[in-house]
Amino acid sequence: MTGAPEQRNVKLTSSEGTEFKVERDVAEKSVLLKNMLEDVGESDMAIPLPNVTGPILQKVIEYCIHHRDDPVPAHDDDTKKTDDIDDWDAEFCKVDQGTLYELILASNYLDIKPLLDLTCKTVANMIKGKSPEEIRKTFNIANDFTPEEEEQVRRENEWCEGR
Amino acid sequence: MTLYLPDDCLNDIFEYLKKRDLRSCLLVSRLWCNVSVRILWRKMQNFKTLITCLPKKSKAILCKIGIIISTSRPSLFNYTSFIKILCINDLHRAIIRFLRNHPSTPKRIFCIMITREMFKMFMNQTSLKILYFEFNVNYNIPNIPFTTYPGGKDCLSNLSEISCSSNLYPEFFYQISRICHNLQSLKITFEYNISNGLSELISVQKYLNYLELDYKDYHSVESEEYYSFSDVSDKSDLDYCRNHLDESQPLAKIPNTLTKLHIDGRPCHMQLSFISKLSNLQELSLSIISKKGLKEFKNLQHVIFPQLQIVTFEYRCPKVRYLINFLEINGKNFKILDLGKNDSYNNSLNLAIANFCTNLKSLRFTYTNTNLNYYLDLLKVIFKGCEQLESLDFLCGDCEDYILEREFLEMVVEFSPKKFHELKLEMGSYVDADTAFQWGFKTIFKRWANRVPCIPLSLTIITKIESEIILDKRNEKLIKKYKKLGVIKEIKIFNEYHNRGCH
Repeated sequence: MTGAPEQRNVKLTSSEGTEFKVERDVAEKSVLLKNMLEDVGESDMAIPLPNVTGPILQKVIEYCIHHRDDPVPAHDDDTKKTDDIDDWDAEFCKVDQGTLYELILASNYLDIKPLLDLTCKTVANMIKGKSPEEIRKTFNIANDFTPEEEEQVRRENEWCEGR
Repeated sequence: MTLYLPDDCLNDIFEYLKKRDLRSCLLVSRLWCNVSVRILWRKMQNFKTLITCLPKKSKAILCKIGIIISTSRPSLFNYTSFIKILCINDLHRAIIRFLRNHPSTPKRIFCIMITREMFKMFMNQTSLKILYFEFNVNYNIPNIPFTTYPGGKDCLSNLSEISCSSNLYPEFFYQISRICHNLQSLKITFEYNISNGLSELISVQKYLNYLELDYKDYHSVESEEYYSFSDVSDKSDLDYCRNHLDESQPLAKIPNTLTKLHIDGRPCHMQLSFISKLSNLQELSLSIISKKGLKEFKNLQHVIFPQLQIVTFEYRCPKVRYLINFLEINGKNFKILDLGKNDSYNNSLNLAIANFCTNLKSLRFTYTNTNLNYYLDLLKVIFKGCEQLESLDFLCGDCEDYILEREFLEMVVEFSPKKFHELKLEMGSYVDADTAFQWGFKTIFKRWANRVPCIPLSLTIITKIESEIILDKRNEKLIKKYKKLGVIKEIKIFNEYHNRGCH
C-alpha cells in the first residue's frame, strides 16, 4: 500500500554478479542507494554492489522490505539501549556470527542506519556480562597482549574511584 | 574462520556497552583495547592513571613541593586526550582522596596546585563536550581561572552541555560566556547564591534547546518554610526574600531557540511569565510541589505555544480554570500530557481534554479522588475525544483507597481508541491479592484479542502485592500464550512505588 502507483524497480548486483530486483522505496532504505538513485535519475542499469555477497544482499533486502514503512529515524538519540529489539528483528538476527558480521559491514557500507543499529546491538548483547576470556571464546579472538601489557592495561584501568 | 570487524564497526558496537562490559573489552585484544579505551575514558576513570599523564613540566612543579608522581613506565595511552566529559566535582574528590594518602600537611595548597596542573593539561589536550561543575558546601573547589589557560578556547568552545550550580564564581560565568556559545543543553542547580554572569551564559547561547532549572535544594536552609514559602508572615523572612531572590533575572534573556524547558521546584518569587516569550517550546515540564508555586501559571493560560507537544506537571497540576484555557488554545498539538495531581479534577477538565487535546497520544494522571465511578466516567469521555490515544498512566497519589482494576481494565478493553496499547496502572495499598486477580487476565486478554486491529497490549501494574502472586503459574502460562498470539506485548509488575518510572 506504499508509494506511488508506478513504483519503479531498481536492479542491484551482488559481488558474484547475481541480480536482485527491488522496489525503489525498499532500495532507498539505503542512504547510499538513495543518493545514487537521485544522482543517476531514471535508469535501467543495475547498480553493482561489489562489497556485498548475494546471500547477505538477500538478507538486507528482506530487512528493508519488512521495515519499508518505518518512519525515517529521528536524529541520533544519545541513550543507547539494547533491550528494545522487537521479535521480528530478534528473529532476523538469529544467524551465524559470520553472517552477522557481514550484515554489519553491509549496512555500514550501504548506510542503513536502523540495520546497523540492530546488528550492533545484537553483537553488544553477546558481549554483555562476559569476562574477557569468554568474549575471546565467543568471537574467536586471539589474545595478542604480552603478559606485561595485559597487566598494565589492567592496572591503568583499575576500578578505584568507587562511586 | 576468524572474521574481523574494522575499528569503526567495533566502535559502533561498543557504544552500546556500559562501563563494566567495556572494561572486559579492554582486556580482549589489542584492537579491542584500542577501540574500547576511547569510549571508556570519555569520562575520567582512574585518577592515579590520569595524573601520570601530566606533562613533564607539571610533574616537575609538583615534585618541587613533594608530590612525586611515579613514572616508572609511560602509560599505554594518553588517556587525557580521550576525555570528553569533565566532572570537576569528581576530579576534586579524586584529588582529595589522592592527597589523603599523602603524608604532607598543607593539603589545601597541594589541592590547589594539583588542580591547577590538571586543568592546564585538560585545557591543552582535550576538546570537551560536557562539563559538570557544581559548587556547594561539600565541594570547596578552588577558584582557578582555567578557562583562560592556553588551549582553553579550543577545549571549551565545542561544549554542548553544561551542568552547573548558580553560585559558581562570577569570573567563571563571564569567561565561559565569552568562549562557549554552542551549548545545546544547560542544567542549572540553584543554590543559595545566584552569581552574576549566569544570565550572560544563558543569553549568549546560539543553539540552546534544553534548559533545566533545578530549585529543589534552593533555600534548603529554610526548608521548613519552603513548601509554604509565600505564606510567610514574618516580616524578616519576607525581607530576606526580597533581598536575595531575583530568580527571574538570569532567565530574562533565554534564547528563543529553546524547545525544552524543565523546572523542578520553584521559589515563590520567581515569575513564570518569562516562559511566555519562548515561542518555540515543544516540551514544558513543571515539577512544582507547592500549591502556591503554580499560581503563576495564571500568566501562561492565554499564551500560544504553536510547537508545544509535551506538557508535564510532575507533582501538581495548575488550577483547573487556567489549565482549561491553556488547553483550549494549545491542546490540539499535544502528544503527551501529564496532569500530575489535582484535588479538584472535575468533569469540565475531562471534557476540555477530550475536546481540545484531540491528537493526544499519551495521558498520565495521578488520582486523589476515591470515587471509582468518577474515573470510569473520565475514561469514557477521554477515550471518546482523544482518538489517537495510545497510552495511559493512571497512578495513585497519596490516596489509600484503590481502584478496582477489573472495572478499569474492562473499560479500557471496551472503550479505548483503536491505537491504544499501553496501560500503566498503580494500585493502592489495600488490594487483596486473592480478590484482585482471581478473575485472572483471561477475560481481558480474550477480549483484547477481539479488537480490530489488535495491537499487542503492554500492561504495567504497580502494586504492593508480590509479583509472584500475580504472575502465578496459571497466569504465566496465559501470558505466554497470548504473547505468542500477538495479543500481549508485555506484562510488567512492579512492587515498589518508586519504580513507577517515567513516560
